[in-house]
Amino acid sequence: MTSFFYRMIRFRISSFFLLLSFFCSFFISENLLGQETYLFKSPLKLGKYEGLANYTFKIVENDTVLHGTFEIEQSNLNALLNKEDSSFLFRGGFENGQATGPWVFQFGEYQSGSQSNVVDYEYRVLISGVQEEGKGAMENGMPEGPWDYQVSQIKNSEIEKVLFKSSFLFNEGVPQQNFHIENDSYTLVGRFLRDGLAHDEWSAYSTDDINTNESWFFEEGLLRKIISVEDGTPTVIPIFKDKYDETKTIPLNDAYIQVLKATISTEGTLDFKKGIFGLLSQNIDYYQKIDTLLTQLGSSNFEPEFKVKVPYFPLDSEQISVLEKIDSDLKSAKEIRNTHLRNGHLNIVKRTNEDVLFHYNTIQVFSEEFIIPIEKLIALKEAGIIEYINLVHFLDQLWPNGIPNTHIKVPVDGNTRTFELPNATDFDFKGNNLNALYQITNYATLSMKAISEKLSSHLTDHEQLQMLNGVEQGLIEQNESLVAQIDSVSSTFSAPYQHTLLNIKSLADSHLNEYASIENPEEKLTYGNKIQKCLSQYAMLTNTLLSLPDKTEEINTAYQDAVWNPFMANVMEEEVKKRIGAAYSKILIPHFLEEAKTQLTCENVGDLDSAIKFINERMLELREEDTKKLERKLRKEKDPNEIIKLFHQPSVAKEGKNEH
Amino acid sequence: MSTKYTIFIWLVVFLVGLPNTVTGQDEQVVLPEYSKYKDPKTKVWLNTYGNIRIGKRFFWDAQTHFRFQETEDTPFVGQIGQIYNRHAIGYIYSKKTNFSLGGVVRINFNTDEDSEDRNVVPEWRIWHQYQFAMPFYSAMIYHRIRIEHRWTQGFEENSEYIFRNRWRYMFRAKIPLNDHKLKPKTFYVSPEAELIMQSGKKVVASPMEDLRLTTTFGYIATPRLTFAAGLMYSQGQDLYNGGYYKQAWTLRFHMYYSPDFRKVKNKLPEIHLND
Repeated sequence: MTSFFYRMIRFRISSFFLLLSFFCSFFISENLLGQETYLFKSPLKLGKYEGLANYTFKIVENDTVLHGTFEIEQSNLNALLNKEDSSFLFRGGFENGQATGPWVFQFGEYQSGSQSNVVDYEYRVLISGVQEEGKGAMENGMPEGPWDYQVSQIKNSEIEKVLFKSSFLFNEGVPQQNFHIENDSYTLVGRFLRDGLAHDEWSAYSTDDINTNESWFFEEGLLRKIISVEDGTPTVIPIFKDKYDETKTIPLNDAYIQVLKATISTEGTLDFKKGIFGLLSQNIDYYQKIDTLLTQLGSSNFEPEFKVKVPYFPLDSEQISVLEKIDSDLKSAKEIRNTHLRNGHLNIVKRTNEDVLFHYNTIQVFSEEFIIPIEKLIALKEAGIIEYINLVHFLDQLWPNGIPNTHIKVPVDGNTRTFELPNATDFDFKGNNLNALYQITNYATLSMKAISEKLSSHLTDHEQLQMLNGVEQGLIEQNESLVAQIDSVSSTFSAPYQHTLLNIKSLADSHLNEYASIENPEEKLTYGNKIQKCLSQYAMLTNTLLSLPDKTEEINTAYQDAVWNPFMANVMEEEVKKRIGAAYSKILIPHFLEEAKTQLTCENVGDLDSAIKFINERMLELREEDTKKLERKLRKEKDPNEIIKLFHQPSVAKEGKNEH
Repeated sequence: MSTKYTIFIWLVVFLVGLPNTVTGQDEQVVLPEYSKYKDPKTKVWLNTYGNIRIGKRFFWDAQTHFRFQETEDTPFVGQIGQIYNRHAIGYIYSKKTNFSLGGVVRINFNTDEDSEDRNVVPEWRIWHQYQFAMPFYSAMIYHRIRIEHRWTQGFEENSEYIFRNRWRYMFRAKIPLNDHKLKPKTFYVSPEAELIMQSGKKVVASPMEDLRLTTTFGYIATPRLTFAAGLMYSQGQDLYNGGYYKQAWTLRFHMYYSPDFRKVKNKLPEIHLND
């Protein structure tokens, strides 16, 4: 009995070791099963850089995935000796296609000196030029730890002068703690919060002039004020000085500077090309250079996240549509202005005909007093930053000489004549809002159209024919490119998309037929101009539709959340906010396709296009917002138009709250 | 039939006999000349496994199992034999490694219709578990080490608790059938082998308590809900006579659920455990 017992203990101990070895064998076999890596050594082209590459990779599902060390370099002795050589060297490593480990990027522009000497068994030639070097470590394609970028002026193979130098500390691509940037005229120091938001005072000192410096004061990403000291005289420029209901976090880039420019009340108080922004944009350019290279190698997270906050003033759907109307009106007004002011014939006629001169000058007045100021607002819209601008404040400053009048005073040969539309009383320019601005824009556009009609009789038949010719050529080109665009890809799309695209094609065709059947040249010109705009909008809608499957895919992916499944011990994708996703893909997308297939006209094509774009953008925003209320409302709602209305309503939760 | 009956009585005597009577019998236990396999029993287990996330790294492991056992009157599915309440606090060391520590209350029902003894007795356990997962091509492989400290008693009035340790190792694979990985809407097959050894004063010649060989088919309904069913064959030494081996065929039905009631805000670093 006892021996049996001991046998069992022995058995237990040995089984323990058996188990242990079983275990180990699994860990080892897992490594052994990793894919084989291959070595590549041959010339390679990376954008504009072409050189000898040396790297290892593996094959995953028929794709080449960089894995292991990577090096590419190029230097040409002949070029160096003859004139100048552009050399480069990029060295680092990848793990599963993502840049990882220490990296160095060098770019050089060198000329050789005329002298050479022989040292040991080598010929030595001294070089001069400029060398750029960025180095630091990466993890999963993102910069990690300290990164330095230095641009040095080299003379006779020695650093003569440091032209630019920046040092950052990153954590998963997010800049951390203090940083330092200098070029030959300024030195900037500043710091970031852990989440990459600019914080505290960022100061730049001029290296040449002790009395010149510039400081930006951030509060958790929000730039409160700028103090610029020029020759010892400080100027305080308040920026986002108020308390804001909502803020958004955006990258510190050119768009941000545009927001600042539009926010600063007095123009021209700060030169954004110099000082802090000059240094930052220089640095961003260098980092982008590296990012472009790594993106071409398939590792795309390098661009660092320098982040700032801006106040957020969301526009409601009505404001957005008014803005669209202002934009489209402004475009027509500009078109009329450009064709007339540049028309050689009119320029001659106006010298002898006072009426023509009057109208010609009126166009100029409209351009200066109406079009140019309104363009400033549209520029914000086009840069996608309009919602970061306090519109009340901005519109207030749009008219330094006061809001314009319907009664336009036009200088004509030393006298002043006035221009006014007969229905001028219908327009109300009062109020500091978009509706008033639309009235102003609309007034300008209608006036320009009226003037254009008046002037058309002064254009000779020959001029008219020429204009018609121009329009016709444009129409044919537009139609051809639309047809080509649709034909080249439509077969790869699903049936609902194909039907919709075919409808757009036949609509465009029918407009052209109608145009051809008009005989009166003036009518023909008017109609031609109208469908020119229409065709370009069809093309825009076609583009939107062609990119819609990719966009919906992107949106669906965004609505997936990674969930760790404890029972499988792996990470699974789970769809979140299912009701919103269903409303989008089961109701809205089919609705849009149906609309474009059956209801499309010249008048509504623009609206449909912007509705699709809006919904796509809104879907991405809603992913981040608190949408409980919306989801509840969507439960019963099946009517696409009602759903679009619901999507236009802002979510209850403030974005600013979600950021913390 | 009559041999079956005598074996059954015999088994009941050994399974539920008082520890002191067993001590009395100790001297009389005679190992058979050759190992003897008893007729297999059939059982049905309905198991629920909850894994409720309560923090970034902690979860509440809540398992409730209903185990039925065939009896003379109710063959096959049988009557309720045990109700398990197994709870623990789990710690997520990494996506592939987790540990648990907790307790079990098992309610044992007397399945012997002829017995005059108590109908229900509790059994207490402390358990801890170490689980390791590793991806293997499209499948996942799991190693589970579970150690239990267990206090059991028989159905007789005033029976004393006996203490044993259980040493369990389970090897399991989950192989997706209709996809290249384990994800929602996937069926999988899961072969599994578990060896349960035991030790303790009362364990003299029967260290191998159970060897369980199971094949399960499962369906991952959502990332938070999985259903599975399988058939298990098990065999193990009788506690009081190591020469006798019990056998069983068990139909097992499982539901795995892992809700997460934490606020969205606290969930953000869902999978980035090492941030």
